[in-house]
Amino acid sequence: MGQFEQAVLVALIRLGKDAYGRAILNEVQERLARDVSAGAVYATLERLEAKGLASSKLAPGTAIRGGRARRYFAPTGAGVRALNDAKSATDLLWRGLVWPLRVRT
Amino acid sequence: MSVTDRRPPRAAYALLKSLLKPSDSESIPGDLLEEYREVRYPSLGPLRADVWYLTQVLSVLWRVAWPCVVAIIALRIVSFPLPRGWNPSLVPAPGVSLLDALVFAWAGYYGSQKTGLFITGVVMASVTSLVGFTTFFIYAAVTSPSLLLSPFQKPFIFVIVATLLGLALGFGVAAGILGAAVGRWLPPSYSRARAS
Repeated sequence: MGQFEQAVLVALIRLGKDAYGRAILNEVQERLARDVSAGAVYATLERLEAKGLASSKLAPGTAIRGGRARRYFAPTGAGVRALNDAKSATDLLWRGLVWPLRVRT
Repeated sequence: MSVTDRRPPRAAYALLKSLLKPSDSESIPGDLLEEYREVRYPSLGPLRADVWYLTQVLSVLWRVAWPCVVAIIALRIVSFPLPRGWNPSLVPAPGVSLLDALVFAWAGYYGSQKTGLFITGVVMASVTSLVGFTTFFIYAAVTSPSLLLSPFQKPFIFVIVATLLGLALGFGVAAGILGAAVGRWLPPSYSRARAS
């Protein structure tokens, strides 16, 4: 799982039941501290669904959306396991090193 | 003006709709419209909010179109150093060769397979044709910089360039329609099990 996929999956967990497209986009932008395009987030959500790491369902829209439905996303069990594995792998990689690293001169 | 009177550019909205699977055709435009009306329009003003909206639509377009764009640029890069005649053309103009037709037809097929919509294939073929034509002129301008100034010396050259562009676009759309028709006829490539 790539870093961006992890960022989107973590956003789904942080947002909980409020995880729909726009909220996910804003959450990912805030966490990565950079502008992220809507196309990148929607493509990643589609990929996560295709991999079985996330699922979605439609809910009624509001007036400000012109009545258009919202699609809410949630991580699946496989998605949560994949995130745990990714975090464990990163922790294992860093084990024994003192953070922050020092530059050797 | 009430919040719901704030509307993004119609053309950008139409382009966005043409790129989305039916299952996403409400949720994604709704998300962008919500952000446009609630945040971008009040903070950026109408013009910059429209630019923001268009940028988001182009990011969705790029996610769908990039394989077609890469294919046509690769074809141009391979074609430039080769002698004329290796890739037969209907008329002596850029973007109307046999291999161009194959790429445009594939773009049409790929697009309509991606969403299950005929229009997506036609849009993909048009974008691919436009990129192919632009790549040709960028190459021509880089190898012969004087070409860039020639239309200003002889304005009629603008008419020639516009005609060539129209020819390439028309050819791309025609080939794309064939590919899109095949892609639309076959079952779409996406098969997500979504609870809606």
